[in-house]
Amino acid sequence: MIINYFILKKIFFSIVITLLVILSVFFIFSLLGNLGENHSFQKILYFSLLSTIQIFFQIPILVMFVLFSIFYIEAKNNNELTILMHYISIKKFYILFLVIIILFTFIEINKKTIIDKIEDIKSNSVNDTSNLTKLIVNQTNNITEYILLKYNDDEIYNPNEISIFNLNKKNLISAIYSNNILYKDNSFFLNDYSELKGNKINIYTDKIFKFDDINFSLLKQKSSYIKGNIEINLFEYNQIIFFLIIFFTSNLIFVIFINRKAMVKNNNDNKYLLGLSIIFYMYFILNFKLNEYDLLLKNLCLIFILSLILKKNKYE
Amino acid sequence: MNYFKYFLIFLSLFLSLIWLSQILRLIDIQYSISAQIFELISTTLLVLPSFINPLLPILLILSYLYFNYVIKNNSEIKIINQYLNNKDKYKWILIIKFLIIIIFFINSEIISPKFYSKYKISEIEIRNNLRIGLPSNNELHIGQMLSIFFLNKNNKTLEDVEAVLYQEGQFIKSNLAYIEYDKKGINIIFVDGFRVKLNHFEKSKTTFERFTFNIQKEINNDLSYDKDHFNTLELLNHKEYDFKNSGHKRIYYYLLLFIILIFADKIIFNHNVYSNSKLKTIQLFSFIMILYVLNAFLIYNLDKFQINIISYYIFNVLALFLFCLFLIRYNDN
Repeated sequence: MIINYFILKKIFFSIVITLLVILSVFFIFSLLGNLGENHSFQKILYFSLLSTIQIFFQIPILVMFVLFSIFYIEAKNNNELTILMHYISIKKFYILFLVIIILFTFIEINKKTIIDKIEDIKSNSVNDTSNLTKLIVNQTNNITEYILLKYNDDEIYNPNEISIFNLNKKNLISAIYSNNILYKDNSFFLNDYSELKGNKINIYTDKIFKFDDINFSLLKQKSSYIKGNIEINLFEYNQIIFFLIIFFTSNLIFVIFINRKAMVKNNNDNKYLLGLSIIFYMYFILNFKLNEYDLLLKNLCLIFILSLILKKNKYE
Repeated sequence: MNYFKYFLIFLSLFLSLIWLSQILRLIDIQYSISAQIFELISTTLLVLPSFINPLLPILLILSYLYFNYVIKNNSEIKIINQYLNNKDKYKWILIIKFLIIIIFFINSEIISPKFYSKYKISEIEIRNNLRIGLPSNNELHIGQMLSIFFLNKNNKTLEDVEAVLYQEGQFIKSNLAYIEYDKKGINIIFVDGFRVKLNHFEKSKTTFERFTFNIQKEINNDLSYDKDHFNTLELLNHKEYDFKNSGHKRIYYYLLLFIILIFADKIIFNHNVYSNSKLKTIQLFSFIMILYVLNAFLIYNLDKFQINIISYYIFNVLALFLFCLFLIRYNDN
């Protein structure tokens, strides 16, 4: 129990140092970059802080690598790691670190959403009115719905024009257009509208069309393209393999630093170079898309990472 | 040698962090990089020298603190202090300090402006290409103009395409689409499909064998010169005010670097093992952060004509003087 507490204390110390150092350097980097912007200094500081968090979320696995390095240096310097490894198994070590590994894997997978959210906060702070057209795409039961909204200002409930295109897999089912729109009770009411069905266009001047197939909370996003209620298949093979590559790369970084061989004082393994190369390789594979055999490439990457983990764990 | 080693480790670590974040930032701007990844890596590599100079003082402090931590924990500091005389101890350190100044100067005045010019040209090309780059996730979005969704991609041809043209409220469905781009602009050619145009002026549905959407005007090839294109002397002699201020900012970084290098030994050979040692490290780190923020604040006010250049230097020199006093007493218990 005391040993566990001691290790947790060390991990906490490493997290604090990593965050402090990395966020400070990123903050200065962002601050110098934002100085030319035409805002008040408080706003520049605020934007720099947001940019700092954005950069942090862009490279979570690298941050985790720095965290493990600091833990390793901190624990190895006083030979504490050697003593600890005598008393607890590497499995127990792994369990203590698993939370961090899962957390950073989760951040890596969802980083785009997080970065976009921060970007939205930034855009909201400057009242950016550049994105005055929004396209929402809803996908349900093989039917795709494209909703195009045009605005004159930032008021999301008050679009000037709306165009709705409904499609099944091959054909256009219907298209609706209106420039007389009223918002009430989470719905748009189109007072005069044109409807295209088949090849026939009908113009209705005395009918009201109620359109409630829209998630208004999504409209608050500043980006012009918004994914609506797209059905996400959590068990899609591509997504699973992405998760596995990131998760096992994180595990590999763990075993690079925490293993019995690494305890030896004159160990010549270049852990830092190996760790950095693995991370660059992972980012390269995740962002590189082959026209053909792409899945095979990703599978090979996964096998390669797994084999490295097995090699590192051979004598544990 | 360790003195230089830890400096290089910190420099390369943070440069790689920033480099990777720059690559991923550019990747996030658009929707795929595929064929352009090597171009992207080499281009972002060109901008790294510009990041070195402003970050070098803080990276030096970090490497000194780390170096001190290592030699203190291995008790090497006692051996160094006991068995090496000051002349031996400082001879190599002086050479390395001199080396760092030369690297900083050459990088600031020659390498970074040259590389930055190359970077800027390459970046404009990449940004233009990336805007129409090979799409991923079966989607391609070009600014506030166009969104394309497709089922498959075969070489440069997109298959089973659905597209929305924002401005005209136009929807296009076609069997194929491909992108042609030249120096003047981009043409997106839709083949064999229909388009629905619904707007205030026109409501129609037409079929086509070939429909071309041109986004020629949106390509930006203008290379505007910014502060990183120039060396310090050119910045100071520049006719624009904010460029001049940027030159003064660089002079400030020289001053900060000199002070850190002068007092480097105080940090490296700090043998203080008392509890206030960690506190002093935090104080040192906070101090350097304050210096950066203060300098940014002064530059901001200088750009807005709220202070003049004399006030800029007075405040900065005063802050640096306090920093020197802090560093002089850094080793004291």
